[in-house]
Amino acid sequence: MGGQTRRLLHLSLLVAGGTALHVFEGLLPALGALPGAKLGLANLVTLLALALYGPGATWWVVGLRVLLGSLLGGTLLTTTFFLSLAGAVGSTLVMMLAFRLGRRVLSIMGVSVLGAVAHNVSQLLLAALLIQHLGIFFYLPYLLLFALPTGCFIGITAGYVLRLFPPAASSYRWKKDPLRGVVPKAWNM
Amino acid sequence: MTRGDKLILVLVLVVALGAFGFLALRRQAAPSPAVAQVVVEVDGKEVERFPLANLRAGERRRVRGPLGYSVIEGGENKVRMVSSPCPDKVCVARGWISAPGEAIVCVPNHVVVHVEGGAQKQGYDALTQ
Repeated sequence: MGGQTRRLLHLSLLVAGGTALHVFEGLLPALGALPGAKLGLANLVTLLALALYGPGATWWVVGLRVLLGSLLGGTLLTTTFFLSLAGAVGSTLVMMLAFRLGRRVLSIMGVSVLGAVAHNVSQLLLAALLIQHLGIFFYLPYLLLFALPTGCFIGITAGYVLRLFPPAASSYRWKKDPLRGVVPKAWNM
Repeated sequence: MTRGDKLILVLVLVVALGAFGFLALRRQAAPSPAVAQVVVEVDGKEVERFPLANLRAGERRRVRGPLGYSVIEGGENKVRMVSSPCPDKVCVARGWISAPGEAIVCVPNHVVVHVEGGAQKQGYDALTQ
């Protein structure tokens, strides 16, 4: 397979997978009274697109995912859609910067946690704009605490997937295996 | 997991706990209600304000938002959202609120219900001696 074909195939798979995760996540019940407390499953796709094909391709993957996911979930152009979009754009922006600026300091785990936090904060910002009220930031500390485990989980998952690619394939060179010291040796596949 | 990752984890944790503390402090700093008021806002504009004590247990009031009517219900010195035309029902799941500074927020229907401490005559901010 030529490089171009492979790239197109991978990106298409990422869009498809992202759409599926997006819809699946929309089907999960909201956690009690915590709006926006989500697993951030779709962030996995954003991470992989960034790590493998860089920022330009990632915007396509993220944009198509939100559009298709909302179409299939039946939320296109509703409040939910705009909140999803805000979260996706915010987390993508932050993860891009994290990749660019932090490549010596961070592994994919750190990038993922930053993305999860950015997702929640941008959603809250948009929600506050929509209702013209800052009271909604009452939820911020809960969401931040929630973003830690989910961000780590998504980061570990992305680490496992990226292991399957030769280092040369990815636009982002890992200085270290992101899973070292996180995942017990027994789990190493 | 690099040192930078751990730093980020710790930072997020600190910010979260800081925000918790900040909110707790603000709640304490709020004047204790002489008469707690229920304030209802739609699109950021106040549409209703009445003493919490006036809302009898089980009494309901309708609030009109862009999607339709959200219904609030009184309890023993507390208030909650009973039904709302929004798809996600986060506002209903919020449950009862009663303390000043607590709020029920319905993003889709642009409705905010919050409790304010009564307008207390505050003394001076500070006195030089």
